[in-house]
Amino acid sequence: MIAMKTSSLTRLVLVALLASGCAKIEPLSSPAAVGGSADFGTYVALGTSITAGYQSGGVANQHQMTSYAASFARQTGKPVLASGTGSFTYPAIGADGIPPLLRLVSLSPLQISNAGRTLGSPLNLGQVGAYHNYGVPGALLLDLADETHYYATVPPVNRTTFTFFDLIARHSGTLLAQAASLGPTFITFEYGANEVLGPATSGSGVAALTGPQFAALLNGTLDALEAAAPGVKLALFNVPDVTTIPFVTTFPPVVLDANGNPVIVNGNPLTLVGPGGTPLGLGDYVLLTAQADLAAGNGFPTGTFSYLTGAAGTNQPLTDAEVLSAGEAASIRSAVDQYDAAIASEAAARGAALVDLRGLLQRAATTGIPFQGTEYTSEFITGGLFSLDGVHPNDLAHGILCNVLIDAVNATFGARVPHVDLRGLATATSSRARPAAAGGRARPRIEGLGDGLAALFPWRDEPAP
Amino acid sequence: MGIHRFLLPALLAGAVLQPTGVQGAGYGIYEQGVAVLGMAGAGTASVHDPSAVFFNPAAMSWLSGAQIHAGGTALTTNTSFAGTNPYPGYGVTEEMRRQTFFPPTLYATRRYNDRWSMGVGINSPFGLGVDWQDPERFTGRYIVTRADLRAINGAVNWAYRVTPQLSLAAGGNILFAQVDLRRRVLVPSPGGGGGQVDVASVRLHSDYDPGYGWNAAVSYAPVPEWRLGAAYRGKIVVDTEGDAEFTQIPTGDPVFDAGVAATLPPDQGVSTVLRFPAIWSAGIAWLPAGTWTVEGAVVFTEWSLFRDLPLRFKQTPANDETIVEDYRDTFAFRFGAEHRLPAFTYRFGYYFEQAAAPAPSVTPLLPDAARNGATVGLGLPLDAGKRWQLDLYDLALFVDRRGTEGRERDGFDGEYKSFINAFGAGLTYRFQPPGEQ
Repeated sequence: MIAMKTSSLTRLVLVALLASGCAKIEPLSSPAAVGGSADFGTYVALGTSITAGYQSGGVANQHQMTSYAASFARQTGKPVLASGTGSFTYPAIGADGIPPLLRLVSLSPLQISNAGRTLGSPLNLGQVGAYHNYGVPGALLLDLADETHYYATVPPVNRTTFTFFDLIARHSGTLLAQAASLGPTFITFEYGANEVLGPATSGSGVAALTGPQFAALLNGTLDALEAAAPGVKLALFNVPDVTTIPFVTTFPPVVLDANGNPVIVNGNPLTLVGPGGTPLGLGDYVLLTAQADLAAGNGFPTGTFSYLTGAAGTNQPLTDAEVLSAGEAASIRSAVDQYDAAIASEAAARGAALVDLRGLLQRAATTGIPFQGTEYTSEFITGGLFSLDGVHPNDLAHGILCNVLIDAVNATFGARVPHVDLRGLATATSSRARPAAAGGRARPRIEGLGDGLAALFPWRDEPAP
Repeated sequence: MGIHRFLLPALLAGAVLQPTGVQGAGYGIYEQGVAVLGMAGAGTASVHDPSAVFFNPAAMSWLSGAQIHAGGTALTTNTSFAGTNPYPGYGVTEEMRRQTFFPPTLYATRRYNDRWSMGVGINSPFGLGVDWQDPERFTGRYIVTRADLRAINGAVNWAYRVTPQLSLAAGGNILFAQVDLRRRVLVPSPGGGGGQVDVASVRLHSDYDPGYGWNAAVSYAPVPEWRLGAAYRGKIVVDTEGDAEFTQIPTGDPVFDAGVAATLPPDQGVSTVLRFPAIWSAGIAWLPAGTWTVEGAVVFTEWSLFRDLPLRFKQTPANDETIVEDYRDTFAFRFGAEHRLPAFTYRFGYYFEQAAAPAPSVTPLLPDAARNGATVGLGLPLDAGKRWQLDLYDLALFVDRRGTEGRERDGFDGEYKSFINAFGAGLTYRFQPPGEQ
């Protein structure tokens, strides 16, 4: 009796188990994007080096393919190919990039260099017709509808050498006209950063445009864009506070002791020797470009030692271009505030999505951005968001930015664009190089950064009026 | 008698195993009586064995003489996860190790006279066991790789028969609880690409510390065919202390590892607060023809008590953390029937229970979801005098597939799928044969 009942119970249990589908869950696949009131049929990205996917001092297709623009194209159903061809075309540049990308040669001493890397070549320079990604490193808002300064040595931009316009605009008319030739239905628009980044990274507080100038130019440019691409839907990026990037914030303006603590004299931290021999203020910034001087002991008062190398202080002042003073930084921030007010106002007036790039960078610089249980920050090298040039976002940050874009687009247009997979974008190094064997004192040496900056910000030698 | 000699030691062995598991919503385990679980836990009104100590102490008044019950459940859990973007991404799947837990139950009741009865019990009404496969690669390892919450409850209740139809009961609980959490610490790798490296494993391990609560219950049998019951089990909060161990995982880069070592907290004391919610239940049972019992019961659990899990470090308060949970109160609706035949008794039932966790708290630590359970049970008298009774049940628990809706607090989004099977056995001994008072 007992045996019989037990066996029927067992049978019931087995039936229940089988019916439950207790097998492991099947992998989920990404849903297709739904446009809502937006149409992602032809997507064109307009903007600066960020839009181009510039990282670690150069442009290379491995990062062009992970730019926020490429990811957005992918999330809206367009394959992005390494050749730059397909339904989201871009001016693909092969290994090792133009200029060759920096890599982390060694962690200690900290050495970042593009030495030994070869200059990349364009892969689809001959593409017939326009590209879909018109992110141009170094581009100003002015450049979108005005090709005067693309290739020539014409003020106010003074592009004296090679520019990315050669590779991207290809002497085929303005970027705006080329973009419009595709009949875009959706455009992301990312301008304004270079107007402040150029001066900030060369120690100047004079933005390329005043707030009112920027607002007027933006209004006119967007009018022209909407006229050239009737019915297009827009997503406008605002401008980040460029004084929070590692390029600006990495080197402290004070002398440090062997333990990394500020040297205190008369109750105050002892500061470095600034332009003209004047001691820096605590609110001044020493730019990444000062590394060679700092390594040689320049900028350190006599009797102190370089916090990079331990070299004896020479009391030689840092140059004006190596220092962004507190006052200059405040001017830059004020310009950013005014640019962003204009962008927000245009977005509201035109029914465009507003992409809060500024807020994202602000979070990185303050609270940090959580990912996998860790706060990612704006710290150079260790923060996890910036590439090795200390200015441009890495693949992961592009993915995070793309998700901010997606959230804004979904909210504004009632669209349902799925988020980007961030895990696939978080890589061990930003330019595929392992740190070399470590040892000795940390000593940043960033070789090749100057080439990239010269290409990006050509007015470094002749500042814009 | 051979079967007794075989079963009893096994059951007693089960009782000393450390209980853990995850069965009810949140980390509740309502599997505290084999006969009642045969009826899907619908026993607040009709319970008629020593598990009344848990389900409704007032029903002890209807039990004859002295009775003792030892039992336990083998809970087998099976949980898997499929990721969505942005993290860990579409296409990713993860699986927990299939685990079997043995929450034990031990109850004794005694009726002293027409008025007073007393009961004591040891059981494990809460618990959690999580163990993700391949913890070194598990994509949620920064949240948890393994977690155990163990709780052992001791109860003593007194029932007072106010009238032949009405009984009231009250009593107290002492609950010893312990928690063990393990996870990995990851940081951005120094290459600038935003990828991460595992730099440490963390284990938080608390002692068994006690908390206290109280019970109250009522049972009302106006006519032989109907019985009503209600029970309340008060909340218990356990302040517990333990150890935090931080073990560095070398990455192979001595400079980087030295930097990690400099920031890694030392092993130290840690304290936390474990919260076990109040449970209200009410049931109505119909006993037609003297051989059938049909009950419907509602169980309301005040899960909103579980608002967070605070972790406080003794030496490095900067590492303090509060894991926010913000659970919601839940209802469970339980229906069951029992048919007593001369040779044996069979039971069956069904229940539905709401999810306690809001979407942001659906985590690899506790992927809570609503669930539907179906049970069958069997009661077998083992001797002619019906002093010995063996009860068995099986519960197939179909946990709803639950997604995080892109809102998981630690950015770990996707869907969970779980199935739980519970098989229980219990042995009851009545010191007086049924019918004798």
